[in-house]
Amino acid sequence: MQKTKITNHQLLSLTANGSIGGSVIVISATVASIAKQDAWIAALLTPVFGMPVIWIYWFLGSQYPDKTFVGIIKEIFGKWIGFIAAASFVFLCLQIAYHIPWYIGNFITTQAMPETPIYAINLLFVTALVIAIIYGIETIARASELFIYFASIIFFLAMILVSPNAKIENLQPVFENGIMPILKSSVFFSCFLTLPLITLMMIYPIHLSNMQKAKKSLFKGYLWANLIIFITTFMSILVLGSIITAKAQYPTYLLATEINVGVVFTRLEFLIVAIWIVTQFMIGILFFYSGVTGLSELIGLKEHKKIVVPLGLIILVMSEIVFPDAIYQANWVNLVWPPYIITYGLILPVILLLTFCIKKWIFKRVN
Amino acid sequence: MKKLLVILLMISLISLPGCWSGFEIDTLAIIIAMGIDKSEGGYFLTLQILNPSAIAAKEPSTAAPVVLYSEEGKDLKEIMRKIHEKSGRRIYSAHLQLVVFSEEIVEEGINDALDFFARFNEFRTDFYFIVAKGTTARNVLSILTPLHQIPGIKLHESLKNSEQLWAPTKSVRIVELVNAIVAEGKEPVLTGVEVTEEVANVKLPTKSLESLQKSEIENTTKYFGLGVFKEDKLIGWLNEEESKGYNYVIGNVNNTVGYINYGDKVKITGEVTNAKSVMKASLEEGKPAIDVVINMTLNVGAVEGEFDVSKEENIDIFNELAEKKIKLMCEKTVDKAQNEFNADIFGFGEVIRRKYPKLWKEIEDDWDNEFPDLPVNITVKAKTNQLGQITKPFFIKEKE
Repeated sequence: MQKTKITNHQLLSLTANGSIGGSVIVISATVASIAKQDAWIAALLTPVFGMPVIWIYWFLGSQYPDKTFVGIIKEIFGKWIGFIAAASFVFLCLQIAYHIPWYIGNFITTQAMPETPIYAINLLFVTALVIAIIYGIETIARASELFIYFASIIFFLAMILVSPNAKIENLQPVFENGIMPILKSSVFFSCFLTLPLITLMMIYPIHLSNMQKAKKSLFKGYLWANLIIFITTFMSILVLGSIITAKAQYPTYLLATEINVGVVFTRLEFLIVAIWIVTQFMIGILFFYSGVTGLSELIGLKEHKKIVVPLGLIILVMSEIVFPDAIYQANWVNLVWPPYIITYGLILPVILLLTFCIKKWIFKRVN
Repeated sequence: MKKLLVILLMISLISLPGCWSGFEIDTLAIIIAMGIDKSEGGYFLTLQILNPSAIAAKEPSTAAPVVLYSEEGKDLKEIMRKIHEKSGRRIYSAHLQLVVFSEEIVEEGINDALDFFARFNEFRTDFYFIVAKGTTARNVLSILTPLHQIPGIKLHESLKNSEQLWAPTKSVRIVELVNAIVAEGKEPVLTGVEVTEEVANVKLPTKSLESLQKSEIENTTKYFGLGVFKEDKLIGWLNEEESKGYNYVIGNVNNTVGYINYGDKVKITGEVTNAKSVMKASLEEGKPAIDVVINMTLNVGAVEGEFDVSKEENIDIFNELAEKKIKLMCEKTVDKAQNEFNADIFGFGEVIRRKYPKLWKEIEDDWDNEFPDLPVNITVKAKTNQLGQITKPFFIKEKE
């Protein structure tokens, strides 16, 4: 069967979009509540921990260039343990796939259209998700290539426009509370920026046309996302101060309401929302696509497109009832999400890597 | 398949334009300004709402450009909803320009009110907070002014202009206000507004009926100076001179005008075109001290009397006198903040915290006692760049 292939630049944009999507509008609040005015240092530290993780993803993929992540797990762990591990990974993907429309619905109903039922908003979003996956990975990759230009340009425009309000005093004193809070918030950064990229593993080795350059594109995309998240955190603290940043529901959005240059450049906050929805859409696709293809591979379907619509319906229904309220969601994100994603984004790949190395070593000894 | 697509597209036409929570502009009551007064056991809220038919009409309209609605109650959000009983249109607050607190409210503290302004999603962050001095917030909002049709916008604009061109006011928005309240080493200020009697029209010749009607004494709103806060409570006022001094110290002067006297007969007006201040903390025998350096550039605005400003030594005299005057002005303000109010409105505590975080942790709790004794050294450096359109004054006798 002819496999659909994506280019390296498309992989780069998928990585960047996936990494930005989950974090651009909310992350600075969580981080500023821990590290105060030093949160931007944590953002700078994140790639230091993130790069090895991305390297593990790359390495695993490069060893099995014709397998998906589910296939890799099965190959390394064997049939039964592999099946259980892969199934729980697929469950994670499908679960997060219905968290993401919830964020969209919640944001739109709190900030813009309070009277609109969440389902009406989520319906549009989930429909787009389903259509995208029916069109297939090539279309998704091309869209993400466009989105990353759109998001980056608008983002830098917004940040330049808000910079006249920056106050350098908000950053000082540096290292007031020592290094510990910075490291702690760096963990949070990783949980939103780095580890969700595990879903890329369903796309990256199997659909990539040029394996030689894969490492470079993964790293480049990841670093680009890091730069953008660093700038949002940095600007939020510069303009709003760490206290307001920490207590805002959507700090980057609040940051954009501060744009006030001349008479023309005001009321631009929905620029930031556009970036967020677009990148959130990409991370939604990554999770949903991984869930759908993973599930179809697990149960041995030849064509994953057949289960997209039913799963889409489940996602639509679940997207409103997944969190009963915003308080529950905030607790979930702070308490459940980090250990959850660390299990699948960090521990699982590390165990896979170790098992892979041990197996290889044993085979060598035997031969 | 194509038919299905067409049907899908038609359905999305209904849902996509985002009409769900849409409100047509002719169903909205757009709030320009809010006034918050105290009433027995709660708030007395006044909304200044745009009257579109008076503004949009091509012919000058006789209707008032704004309408005031007031309601009493215990909770701000509740009162805003309650006003729907009167307004007949849906109240829309994303265009809010200004919030006026009455003195009674700010004396009791504004933290509770501020939470509402930060939480409600229709509010943006670009409106200013001011305090009505010696009058009610409703009274301030009720005064119509001739140059700007809408009083709320007039207050917003004149605050902005007087800050940029005259200097004793300060436009404070919610982000800055909240940050100043929560910061340990900084106290907020808000500009005060008062209602004054405008007497300029009285002397007009009474030739027509119309000017007769207009030559009555009219009221107008006028900014007064800065209100000094301790945390979120108003504790006193700085007058115009002291407010200017405050803005010099924190480096918030863009452009202003002042004069100095040289001898008995000479008066020189200087136009400050740029004034920047740098605050630095230092240690004197283990105790913190603050150095403020103000760099300003001047233009000569006017000369009265015999004083040749085109001579270099004379310009040096002028610079020196200007430095002295600004220094005195700033010192007076600092002295008042330290000894009369004991409120660190300049953020000196924050300056110390930034430079000496460990020392600040020790003195943080005792800052109220430390602040009045804090040594503050103010240095002013003036530089005159331009003389204006003429060099030597015309009416100076040339020595042959």
